[in-house]
Amino acid sequence: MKQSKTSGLFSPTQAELDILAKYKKRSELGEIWRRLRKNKAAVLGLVLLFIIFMSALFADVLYDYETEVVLPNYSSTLIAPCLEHPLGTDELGRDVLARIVHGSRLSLEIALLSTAISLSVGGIIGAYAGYIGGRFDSVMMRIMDIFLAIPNMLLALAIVAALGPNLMNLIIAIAISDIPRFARILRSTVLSIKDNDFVEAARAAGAKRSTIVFREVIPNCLAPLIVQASIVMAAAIILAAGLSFIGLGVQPPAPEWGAMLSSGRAYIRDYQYLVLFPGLAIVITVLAFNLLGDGLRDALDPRLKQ
Amino acid sequence: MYKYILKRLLTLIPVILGVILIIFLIMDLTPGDPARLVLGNMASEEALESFRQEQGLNDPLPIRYGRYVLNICRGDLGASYKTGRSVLTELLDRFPASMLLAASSIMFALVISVPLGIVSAVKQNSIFDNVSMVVALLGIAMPAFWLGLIVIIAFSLNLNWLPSGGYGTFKHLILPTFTVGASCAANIARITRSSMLEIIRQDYMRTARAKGVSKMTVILHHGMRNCWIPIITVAGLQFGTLLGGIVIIENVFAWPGVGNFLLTSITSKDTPCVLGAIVLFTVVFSVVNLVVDIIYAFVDPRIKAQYK
Amino acid sequence: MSNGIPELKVENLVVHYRTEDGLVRAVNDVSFEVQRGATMGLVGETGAGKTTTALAMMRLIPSPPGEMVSGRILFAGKDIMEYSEKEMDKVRGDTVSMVFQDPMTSLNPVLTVGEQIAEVIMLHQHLSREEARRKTCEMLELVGIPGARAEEYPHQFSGGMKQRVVIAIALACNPQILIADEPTTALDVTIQAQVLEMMRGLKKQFSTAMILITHDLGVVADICDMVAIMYAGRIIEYGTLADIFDDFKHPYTEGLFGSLPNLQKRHEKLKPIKGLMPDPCSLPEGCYFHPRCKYATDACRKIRPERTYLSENHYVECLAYQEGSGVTLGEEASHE
Repeated sequence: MKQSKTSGLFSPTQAELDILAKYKKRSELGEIWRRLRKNKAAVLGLVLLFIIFMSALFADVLYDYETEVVLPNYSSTLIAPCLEHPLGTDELGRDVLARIVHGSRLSLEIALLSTAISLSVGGIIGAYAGYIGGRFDSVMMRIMDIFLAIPNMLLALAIVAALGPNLMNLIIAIAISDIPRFARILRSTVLSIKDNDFVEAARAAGAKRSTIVFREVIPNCLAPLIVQASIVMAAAIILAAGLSFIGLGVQPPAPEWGAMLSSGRAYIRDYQYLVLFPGLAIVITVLAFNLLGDGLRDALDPRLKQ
Repeated sequence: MYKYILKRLLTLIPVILGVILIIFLIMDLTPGDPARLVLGNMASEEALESFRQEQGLNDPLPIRYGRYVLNICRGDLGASYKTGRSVLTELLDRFPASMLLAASSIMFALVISVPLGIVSAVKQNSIFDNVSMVVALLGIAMPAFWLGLIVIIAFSLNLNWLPSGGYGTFKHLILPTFTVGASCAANIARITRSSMLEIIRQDYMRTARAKGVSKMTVILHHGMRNCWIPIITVAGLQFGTLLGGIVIIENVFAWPGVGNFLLTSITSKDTPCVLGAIVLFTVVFSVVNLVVDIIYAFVDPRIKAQYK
Repeated sequence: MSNGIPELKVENLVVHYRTEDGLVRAVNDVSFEVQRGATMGLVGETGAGKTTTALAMMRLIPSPPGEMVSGRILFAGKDIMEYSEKEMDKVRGDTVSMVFQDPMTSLNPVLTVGEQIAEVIMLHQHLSREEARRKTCEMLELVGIPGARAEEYPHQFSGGMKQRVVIAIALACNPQILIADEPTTALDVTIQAQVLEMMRGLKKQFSTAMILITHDLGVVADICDMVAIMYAGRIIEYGTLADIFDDFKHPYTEGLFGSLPNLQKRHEKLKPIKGLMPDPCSLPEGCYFHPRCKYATDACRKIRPERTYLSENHYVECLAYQEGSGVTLGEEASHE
């Protein structure tokens, strides 16, 4: 995905640079989109994600949160999937489909928020470590290495165990465990740009190096960041569901998919649909993020795909 | 070579110290008074205070951390708040069960996924390739604990072939191994395939064919020797995910391992046990990473040359 | 020169690649033959189909997307196109072997060079491990590398040394045919000369028929007996070294020599051939060279030239030499 830089023979003015960058970016985005559209799996991922986002957006329109998702309805407990309740009802008589639809809000919220936090915190750490270099860089990177030495699940588990299980702590725990991944990407991008001939040439022309480096950072690390972000989001959904499943994440009666599996587990012998459908919701959502991530990687780096 | 192993062993020490520090700091955030947790609500203020004195709970954090590390060096991970038993004993009792599950899962994953990935690469875009890659995608998207519930439904409840939980016989091992190893296998199969696809296009593979080496031998001898590095890298990384997964899967299958112990300790706010269990898992992961690095040197002469 | 059946004979070879962007016509009706002990130079620009021709002779065209559409390839009179894959494995490395373009990537980085040489010896000569090891050391010494270095890995060798190893592998089983695909392109100039000198010596020693692929006319003049000039997948002129260098006929060959710097007449300007090789996905009508030919006429745009023999060993594919075509190379066409 490395773009060829303007040769160092002449020094372009700032205005020219801006125009060039804008032109380059626009045509490049178009090209990426064209390649992505040709990839059937990626399109499937996009369509699935669109449906999931829509159901999260219009969850309240479809089902009322209080009456249909949270409050028990003892007159209709444990009804097998039927016309009225396509995915059945749970032990408290709540419609499983309604809970899954509202659960998509929680899962997306967790995935997006935790990724946004880890991306910005990790990004800033990585960018500064790469830019400043020296001692700061090596200390920061050693710290990141130590975080990477702790399996994600266990780090998140420790944080949630200490802070107490709730939605916000869950998001923080997941975000912290993903910070090192983003820090590394930003750092290596900044390092590669710092040594670029183009930067040296522009500096010789009088531009400030820090502005150039950071102007160049975003377009250059966009590709790996986007790919990493979609992978991290998929992983965050699984991680959140896992923690909620063992009671250390979102607490009932909130319709978190992992928590739904946890309560459905008690009925595994006779009401198997209670463990089937929330799990399927997780699989489909994670699959959608992964398909999109794979597709983006291929579209951003066509070299990898033959 | 020994020098290299020694060097890597030494770098392990600061990492483990750092890991302990991080976990220690996090667990220190736990609200609540350990003294009250141990002595109960009825305990007098004097009794609580003397317990704190005795345990050194009033000391500043650096001192407590230093003491914890020193105690670890002596093989002392503290005592459980709940039972008063040594945390180390509690952990060692359960460690073999967890390691058995971890080892059998990673073996299962490798045995399934590497051949699958190679055949998929060799027969790129065939039906076999497409089907196994779709299965791999699903395997990655599936949360292990859900897969665990599904295989319990299928093989224990419906078919009645295998036990749904417990420990002891080979039959008890099958479902947990499959559950923990599945996503690992999916990941390794994908990396094997993509690495092999790249290797197949390398010039040296063509050179080998030009020597008259059959297609099969070129893949298995020349190709595999180069393919091990990405496979081992991913397997090492997956081992971390696998250790995290074990915590939940042990719960699903009532497997008497460290993970199950960790969860009960978290529920009962037994901080020394939680700390000890997480540190133990992380040390295992670090050692696995070390082993991966050493295997690199054996597989790739270029890496070996750097450490002569 | 001929003593019966030629060691290598290629007849009407056509190779296509089916890609997403369309059908790539890489090799279009190529024929030639090489006698025992002789060397043929296959000359042309990048993308002329030289390497594809070479890989076809090894039957190593990657398939898909590659496909040998038609043609025959005869080793000492036997058509290898009819061989099974298993029979082909016996031929490769033994009867015919190939030296690839880039020595940096041609050797397996995780196997010792000794293992890589011994492999081909053990495969074809059925020697014991011990004998193979001895032969390996001999081969290394032959190409000027101490036998003790057999234990080392490719990354411990320089580019020139690696190419020597590749050549040692190619020659290990005394092949009757050696195909060298730009064996010196990736090397420093001084190393180039050494490697060429070595190959010349080895060829004499084993009287191997050799095909040398290059775009370097200096190298051709140095060691070739016959020369084939390739353009857009066709051999457009073929002849002895003297025919091609002193009596070339095709405008493209003329252009090739015109684009060489002349040390004797330094004041003369270089005359590069204008334009680019046609896209092998959409080759032009008529003569493939006509868009770049300064003599091109209307006939050239419509009629595909046929092979015209000027002597027993010298042919050219150009309408100007074809009787009754009415085309001459009299003057440069006026249009630019």
